[in-house]
Amino acid sequence: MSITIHVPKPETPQRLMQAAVQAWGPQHTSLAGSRVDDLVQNGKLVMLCSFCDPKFNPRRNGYVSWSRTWLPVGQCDGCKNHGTGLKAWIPESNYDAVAVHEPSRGPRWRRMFARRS
Amino acid sequence: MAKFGYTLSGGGPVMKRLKISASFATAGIYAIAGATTTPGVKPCTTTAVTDSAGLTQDTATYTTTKATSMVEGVVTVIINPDLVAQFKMANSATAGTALVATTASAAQTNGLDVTITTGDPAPNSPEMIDGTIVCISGANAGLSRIITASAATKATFTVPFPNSIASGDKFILVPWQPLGAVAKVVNLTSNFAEARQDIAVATGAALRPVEFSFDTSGASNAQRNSFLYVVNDDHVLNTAT
Repeated sequence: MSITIHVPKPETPQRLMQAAVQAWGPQHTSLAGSRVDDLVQNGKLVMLCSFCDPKFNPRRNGYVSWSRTWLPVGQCDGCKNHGTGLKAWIPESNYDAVAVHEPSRGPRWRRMFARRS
Repeated sequence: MAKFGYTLSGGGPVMKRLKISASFATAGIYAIAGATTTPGVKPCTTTAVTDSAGLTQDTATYTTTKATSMVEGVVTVIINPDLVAQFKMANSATAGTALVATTASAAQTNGLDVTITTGDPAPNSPEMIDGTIVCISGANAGLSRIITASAATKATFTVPFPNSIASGDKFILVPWQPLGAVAKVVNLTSNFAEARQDIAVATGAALRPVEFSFDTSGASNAQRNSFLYVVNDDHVLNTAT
């Protein structure tokens, strides 16, 4: 039985690029950030997984949360992976039209001192 | 606009981006499948949601103009067949009009019918049999009954209200019955966003009522802040039709 010895090769920019191109998973023609920017520019709903969501700044883009309680199932607009528990963001202008109707949680001080029974 | 209420299964909303064959000017309306050779979904009509794809969550512009900078028209749709959508109720083709209340003009001790006041909509035109009457002021506020007979001046029900009906009590009559066999369709306002009260029972799009939500904290609130929850009865993923 032969033994294969893997010798680590230096991570040159060329090798990193090659690895990115050959990486497993769906191939994309644009970067994740650019795809999300396109959606924002067209006033579309944006769905992001828990990994991509922290990279999106909704306030800077004029976006608000679609729902506090419901987490959509679908394809992440950042990494294009399918999954559950995505977070959906909508333009503020669409809030009255599509944001899920949820009762107000009240001010923070009231929540802090809410009686638990 | 129609909003996502919940799903019958309790699962999360499944969102997809679908190609369009007509522009969607407003979000929160039903998208329906196009006919043969149409390149995508299009907005529903006020009386038809045939082969619906689901509830849209954003707007989209349809274009067939070739350009390197062109943006293909796609709309985000919640495609769950068991989606329960929340429609605000309105009283005309124009969205945002308050529901019309009917005021009892005579006391009724048996609690079995409401005689309307002159000028109120006649319970038989548009026809409200199999629809629902909801009391929004008086001793029966917050309670509802199914209308089983109607006349030009009177709405009658088989199951009485628990308290006598007094002159001046206010009611709202709507042409829907939750999971009823007859009052099972909804006519939409001209922007497809709200459900019309002023249409006869059994006239409209295949949106089956599941429940109501009347704001009975006051008659005025009930007229302006009441909602109908419906399930699409003609979804494209429905294997029955």
